[in-house]
Amino acid sequence: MRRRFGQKRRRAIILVVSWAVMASAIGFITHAARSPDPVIHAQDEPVPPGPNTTPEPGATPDVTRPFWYVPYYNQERDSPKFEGTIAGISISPNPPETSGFDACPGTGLKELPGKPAVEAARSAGPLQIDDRFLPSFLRTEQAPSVWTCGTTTVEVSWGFAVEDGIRGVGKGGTGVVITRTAVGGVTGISGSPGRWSTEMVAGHQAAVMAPILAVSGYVIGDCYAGVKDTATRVLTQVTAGGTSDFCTLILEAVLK
Amino acid sequence: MKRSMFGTFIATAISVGLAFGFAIPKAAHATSLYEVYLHPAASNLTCGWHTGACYDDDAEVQSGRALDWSYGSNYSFTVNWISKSDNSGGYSWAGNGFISYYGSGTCTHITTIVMKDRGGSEKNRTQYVHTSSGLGGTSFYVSSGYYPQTTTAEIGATADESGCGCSWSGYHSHIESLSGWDSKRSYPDHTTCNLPNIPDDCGYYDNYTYPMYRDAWTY
Repeated sequence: MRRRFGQKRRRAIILVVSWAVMASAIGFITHAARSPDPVIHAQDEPVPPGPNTTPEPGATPDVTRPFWYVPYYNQERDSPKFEGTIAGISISPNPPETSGFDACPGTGLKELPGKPAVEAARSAGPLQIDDRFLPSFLRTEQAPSVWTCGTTTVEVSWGFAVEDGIRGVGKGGTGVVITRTAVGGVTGISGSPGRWSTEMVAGHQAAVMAPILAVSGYVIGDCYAGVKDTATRVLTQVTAGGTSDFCTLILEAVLK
Repeated sequence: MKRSMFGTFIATAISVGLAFGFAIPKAAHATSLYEVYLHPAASNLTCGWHTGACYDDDAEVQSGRALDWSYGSNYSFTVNWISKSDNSGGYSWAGNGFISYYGSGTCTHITTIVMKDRGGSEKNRTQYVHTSSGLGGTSFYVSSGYYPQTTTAEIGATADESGCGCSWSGYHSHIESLSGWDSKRSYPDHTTCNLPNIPDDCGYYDNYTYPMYRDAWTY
């Protein structure tokens, strides 16, 4: 009697489990085979935030809403910008206009064409940017800009692309610009005071600017990291659409 | 199990499975394909596709992803972002262009446009070299639609970079893809368009007709 009851219970359990498995499988296949739900019709498209829209104080960004990030740009645009010196670097949102004559009085600068520019950027010296020793996720399709005054290199600038998925880089990937200059005057870069800090990078004091916002893998606004070498006076700078840690990582790789 | 009970068993499993399969929402988020074409900022092409400085020496100038544009005068001119965009969903905006100005160099006044899609992902980054801007920190929407829509947004003005070894073309904007743009369009290479000696392929192009780059994504 007891044994018969146990068999019945076991059979019931098997039935329930197989029913659930069957129902789940059919549900899964149906869901997978279905077309996506219809999109919001274009005429119902919400109006994106206007130029005066700023974030609600204390509100958490809702990254699922189109153009959720625009109010953060607006807020930063309307904030006062830092102007002063950090880690020996003069920073201003409105730098004085400079030209080649400032760097190379009387003679004018020369920009090297592609192949010699690559060789000059890679060659050892205080302005060296050797792409072969930078993190492998930096990809370039352009030669660097290399400016010379006579035979002396006075500035090297090289742009790179970074794909999506690298730690510290916002969704969609980003571009990175590394610049080293022997004649750095005022750095023209714009950021509200709260974004700026000082850090040690490769044994140097560095000026670091955080992006406007980094949330849920999105990065809004650029990061910046710069070092002015106290011995050589060379200014090395990195800008990218990433977190402060990302900019300092690239800066450290250049300085090493 | 009796045959009728077995039938009920199967039928209820199918019904419940179908009900859940249809009831659970399936996101329609990534269903619109967006295309954006970037157009030149001026109409006179002074150097075909090149990288680095544009010299009249093919052995030294590599084919790259930059073009030089001017209006062929000795006056600074307004530099605009000019794009055309369409999308399969008929949405009015493809994304947002954010203007940054970096003036740290000596001959490298660079205005950068970072374009983000509607969701906040970076799609492309373009440098307008020899272009200064008082509009850093501002942004603009990139128009789109089922049929291509044009956006013309002022981003800066060409800078006086006399003495920078590029004086043969005077005031000009060197427009260069830094990241994201997936193809360059049919402009001549520097080998046939490289002022001052070989102007045949250089010259006038309607900057609203022929794009430089294309980018496409779904959102």
